[in-house]
Parts: sequence; C-alpha cells; structure tokens
Amino acid sequence: MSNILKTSRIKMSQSIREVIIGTDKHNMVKIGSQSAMPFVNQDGNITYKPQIAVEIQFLLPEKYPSELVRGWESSITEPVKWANNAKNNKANLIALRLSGDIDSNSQLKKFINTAIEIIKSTNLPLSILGTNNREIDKKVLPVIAEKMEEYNCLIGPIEEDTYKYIVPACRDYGHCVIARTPIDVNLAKQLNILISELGFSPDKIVMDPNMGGLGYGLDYAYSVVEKIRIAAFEGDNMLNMPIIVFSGEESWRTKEAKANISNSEWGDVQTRATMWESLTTSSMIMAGADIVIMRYLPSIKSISEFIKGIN
Amino acid sequence: MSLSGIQIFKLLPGGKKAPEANCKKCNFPTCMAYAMKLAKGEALIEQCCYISDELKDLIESQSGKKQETITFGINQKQIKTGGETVLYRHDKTFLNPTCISIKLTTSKGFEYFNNTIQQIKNYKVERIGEEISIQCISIQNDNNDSDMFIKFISKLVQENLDACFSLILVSFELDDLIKGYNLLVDSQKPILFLKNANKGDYTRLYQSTCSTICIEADTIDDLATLSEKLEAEKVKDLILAIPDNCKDNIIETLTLIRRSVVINNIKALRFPILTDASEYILTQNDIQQGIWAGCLLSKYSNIVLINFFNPAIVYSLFTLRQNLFTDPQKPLQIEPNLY
Ligand code: B12
Ligand code: SF4
Repeated sequence: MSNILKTSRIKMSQSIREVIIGTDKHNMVKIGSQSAMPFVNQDGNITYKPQIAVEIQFLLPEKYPSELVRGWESSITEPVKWANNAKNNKANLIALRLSGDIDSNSQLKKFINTAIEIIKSTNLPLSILGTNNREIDKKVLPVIAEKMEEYNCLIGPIEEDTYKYIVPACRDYGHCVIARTPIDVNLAKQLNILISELGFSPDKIVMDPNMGGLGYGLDYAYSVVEKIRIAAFEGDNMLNMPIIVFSGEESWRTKEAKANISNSEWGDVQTRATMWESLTTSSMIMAGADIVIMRYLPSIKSISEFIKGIN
Repeated sequence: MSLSGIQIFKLLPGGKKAPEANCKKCNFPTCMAYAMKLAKGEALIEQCCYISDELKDLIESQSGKKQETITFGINQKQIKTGGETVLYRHDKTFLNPTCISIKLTTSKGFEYFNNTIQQIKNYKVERIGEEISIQCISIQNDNNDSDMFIKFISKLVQENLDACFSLILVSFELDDLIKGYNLLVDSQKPILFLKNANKGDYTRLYQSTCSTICIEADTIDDLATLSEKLEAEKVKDLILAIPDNCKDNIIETLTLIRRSVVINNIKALRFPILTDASEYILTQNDIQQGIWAGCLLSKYSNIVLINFFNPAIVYSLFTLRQNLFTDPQKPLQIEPNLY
C-alpha cells in the first residue's frame, strides 16, 4: 500500500448491519456488515459483493415493454421456469412481483404456491415485491408473509402508509422487509425507527431510497445513499441497514430504455436499453447499494460480469 | 469561503496599519472594501499586490479548492479538467464534468481510425438544453508503429480536425509526441501522455512543447515524487495516470487520491487524474467498457478514455455525467409538467 495514500484511510466507527435473506437450506444471501465505502477495502472490511436480485412477474402486465422480454421469451408465462432461467443467468436471489388481480383468493393461493415452488426448485432466497398499490399490498402481503413462514423472504416495499399493516406479520413469521422512503435521509431513519418500535428487528430491515432512473433523478438517490452511508459509518444505528434499489423497474420507466427507435443520436435500441439499466444499476453500486433488483437480461449479464471483475 | 471580511481586513496592509494601506492598487477605494469583496468571493487574491503569504494560505485552505484546474486542447473550446473541491457531490457540487475521450490506437489500423473520426465529427445530441458532442480524441501508438501514429495525426491536420477536437497524444516514444505535437495547429494545446518514462524525458517533453504532460510511474508514491520534482522544474501543467500496481483496486485508489487532495491537502497529487476504461474490463466488450467508464467518472477520474465510439453508449454516459455534475442545490428539470 502506498505510504502517501495510507493517511487518507478513514476508520469507520460503526459497520453496516448484516442481513440474512433466506435459509441455509436454500443458499441464503448475506448482505451488509461492511465498514468501508464501496470498494475502498483499506477503510475496513468488505465481506460481501453486491447481490443481484432478478425481478420476475407472477403475471406479465399488459404494458410490459416488449424489449424487456428479450432472452426470457421461453419462460415469461411460467414464473417457476423464469426463475430457473434467472438462476442460470447468475441471479443471487429471485424477486417475484405480485401482479394481476391478486386480491382474489384463488389467485393469492396460486401466487403462494408459485412462490414456494420457486424457492424449492431454484434453491435461491426469495424477495416478494408488492403491487405498487398500497391498498392491495396492505391486504395481501400479511397473508403471504404468514403462508411463507419457513422461508425468511425479503418483503416490500413497505412505506410510511403501509408499515403498520405489513410489518407485524413479517415480524411474527420471520421475514425481512424493504423499507421505502422518498429519497431522504431523515425519512429513511424515521421509518426504520417506526418499524423497530413494532418489535421488528433492525437486523432484518433493508432500506430502499426510491431511486429514479438514469436521467430521471438518479443523482438524488445517488447522493442520498452516500449520505446514509456516511451517517451509518459515523455511528447512527438507525441508518446502518443495507440498501436495496429498484434499478430495473426505474430504468424501464424511461423513454430512453423503452423507445423502439434507432437513430444516430441515441444509437440502437438494444445497446441503449442495456446501458440504461446497467448504468442505473452500476452507479447505485458505486454509491453503496447492497442489492440491485434488475430486469433486463442483457444488463443482468453485463452487471454480473462487472461485479465479478471489480474489487 | 468562511473567513469574514473583518478577519481578512486584519491581515491586509490596512488592518496592520502598514505604509501601503489603502493604496487602491486593487481597484477598491480601501483595504476594507477589498476585504469585504474578497470574503464574498467577488474579488481575487491576486488583486492586492501586498497580500501576505499567511493570508493567502489561509484563504486557499478555507476556500477548499484543492485540486488543480488544468485547461487543455483547442483554444476556442478548451476543456477544463480537475478543479474539484469535494469528495461527495452533496458536500457542494462537482465542478468540471469528466472529459470522456475516444481513444484511437494504431494497432486498429488506419481504416478503423478514419471511419471513427468521420462518425465522431458529426455526432451531436441534446439533453435538457445541453448540447453534447465528442470534444476530445486520444491518439495512441500502442504497437510501436510511429509511422502510423504520425499518419493518424497528419490525417487530422489535413481535415482541420486538430482545430476542432481537443487532443490527447499517447506513446512510449518521446519522439512521437514531439513530432506529433509539431504537426498540430498553434491553437491546439494537447495533453501529451508519455508512457513508461523517467523524469528527464518528461522535462524534455515539456521543454520542447510547453504543453500539458500526463505522467506515469510505478507506484503512487513514485508518482507523487515525480510530480513534485517536475513542479520544482516549473513543469506545472500535469495530469496523473494511474500506476499499474493500483489497477486491481482502482476505485480504492481513486477514492484515496481524491481524499488525500481535498481533505489532507497533499499537493503532489492535486493534478487531474486520467484513466483508461479499456484496462479494467474482463472481456473485450464495449458495454463492459461503458459500465467501467461510468464508474470511473462517478468515482473521481477527471479524464476517462474509451477505445470505441458507439452513440448508444456515449449517450448514456453523457446522461450519467450530466446527472452527477449538476449542482445538487439547483435541480435539473426533466419534464416539469409532470409534477
Ligand atoms: C426524481 C424524483 C424527484 C426529483 C425530480 C427531479 C426532476 N427534476 O424531475 C425531485 C427531488 C425534485 C422530486 C421532488 C418531489 N417529488 Co419526486 N420523485 C422522484 C422519483 C424518485 C423519480 C421520478 C422520475 O422521474 N421517474 C422517471 C420517469 C420517467 O418515470 P415516471 O415518474 O413514472 O414518469 C412517467 C410516467 O409515470 C408518467 N407520469 C408520471 N407522472 C405523471 C403525472 C401525470 C399527470 C401524467 C399524465 C403522467 C405522469 O410519465 C412519465 C414519463 O414516461 C419518484 C419515485 C420513483 N422512483 O418513481 C418520486 C416521486 C414521483 N416524487 C414524489 C413526490 C411526493 C415529490 C414531492 C412532492 C416531494 C415533496 N414533498 O416535496 C416533490 C415535488 C416536486 C415538484 N416540484 O413537483 C412521489 C409522488 C407520489 C404521488 N404519486 O403523489 C414519488 C412517486 C415518490 C414517492 N413514492 O413518494 N422528485
Ligand atoms: S491593494 Fe492591497 S493594500 Fe492596496 S488598497 Fe488594495 S487591499 Fe489595500
């Protein structure tokens, strides 16, 4: 190590909490526990690399962009097959998205069976993602939490408006939660406190800064993640949870990823889409994200190679 | 700057009741008036010819501006690089957007070179009111083919492109760089990146060109020593390249360098940093290089080279750069009507 750089190491007064998702039967994933800024090994310890969660859809939404299906074609109507396909493409965990009219009892049952089958057949930990409709999430996530008791899933996102309804079931049935607040350090801390006050272990919370995609407010989340990390390393024990970002979902809101045009300015669709989700993801990794939830297969392959190569 | 006008005044001739007090050479009526403006950042330290070293140091250390700003390239559209003052953009803001330079190497041959410059020449795209184009090209002799290197440069000159792009010339050969430099129009002040050289060569290169020099060394410590020695010989327009032995932990190296400059005030490393994204990829793949370029630009490289041109990749990198280099105090508008 260079003598001149040694003086610029920073000894952190606290490390990030370690969070375990899944069980030892199913290749649990561990995140957190670092005491260093991303890839700055000299600061302290970095035990785990960033983990990729591949987002798959229980039922493919009508408006799902056609380009986004590239590479998954053979499996998009069968979530279990899709999940295995994701596993073969280096997913560290599967993120199964609730969709369709899930509040009907028969659909909910089918969802739960599918979720369990995914865990059993992929042997990977599972994250269960809500519908983006708070009223539905409030109702169905607790039921799912109860039925998935043995599996220590990562469930969310839960927010200020919904945590009261969802956290108790996650606590009682042993799951981890994704705590989402809109790009703000204080709100993130406040939600962690509120969740803990319900008797939920702070060692099972993963924070979601609700990022915007590349070109659509990415900078806000980038800076909030850095601020959260600094506060955590300086000793705030209600902000030292690992961080998760929905980089796939947010990339595919942007017209740059979706627009099916190729021109001399924006380049070809496939490369642009791959870059959009890749850079949205990699920059959050540089800021400090521990889990990235991705969607587009070419980007997933690229980011997985990138993570393999970076130290 | 957090020094108050009064604090500054006390250290000026006026405050010390020295004979020069209120001499007006700074174009202000009194030392006090000057002190007030200086405190607000509306006047320059250079304006008072009697300013003490003590005050100068104090102001420089307070202003937090620690990285050197280097300008290079073509006169009318010079590229400003470095000048960064913070580790995190939320501390204040990042100032000078990372220079993304398309690198063309002699090993890829003349045809590839020529095709690429024709594409780059016409490339232009707008994003949120900012017109973006490729402003910087690097030419590298990477296979000991000095003739090809000179042929590339001659072609640029022939098409007047040396008066259009800012340039970085890269070679292991001192002669290549001097010859290449001499072909260029006067208004071009390129970065000359001499690889694997010693101090004597760098001094000679500077003496024969007076251009900006990019230096390399075996370790960071050697690099710091080298930059100090060169500065002592008045070679001051420097760019630093990353030593090979740091490339396996590049993000750590770049982070520690930035910290050592903006926090620990280590002068020898205060020059802008140049990295080459093609050196970090596991497999030859433009998308991998694009991702790496994105990381290098977010974590503290001031100049990033990529060895290809692809509009989709370049456009996404420009977008990332625009995101990270906006002032966090002044949000960019995407589509304001959405809110
Ligand atoms: C980046 C961001 C910001 C940035 C905006 C930067 C900028 N210049 O645009 C900043 C920090 C300034 C910001 C501020 C606020 N934000 Co904001 N922000 C986001 C974030 C993270 C990304 C939004 C984005 O650009 N996405 C990319 C674009 C392409 O996708 P999109 O938003 O989905 O938009 C597409 C479609 O959905 C559709 N669309 C979106 N909105 C609308 C609205 C209408 C009327 C129509 C027809 C279509 C449409 O068109 C878009 C193009 O395809 C989202 C959270 C998220 N992850 O989505 C919150 C979010 C949009 N913000 C939110 C809020 C509440 C705010 C504030 C009111 C916060 C506050 N209390 O001050 C302010 C309002 C600012 C204002 N002046 O109006 C909420 C909105 C909740 C709601 N539905 O009411 C969100 C969803 C976060 C949340 N969960 O709380 N925000
Ligand atoms: S030049 Fe210096 S000494 Fe003269 S008036 Fe200005 S501040 Fe005072």
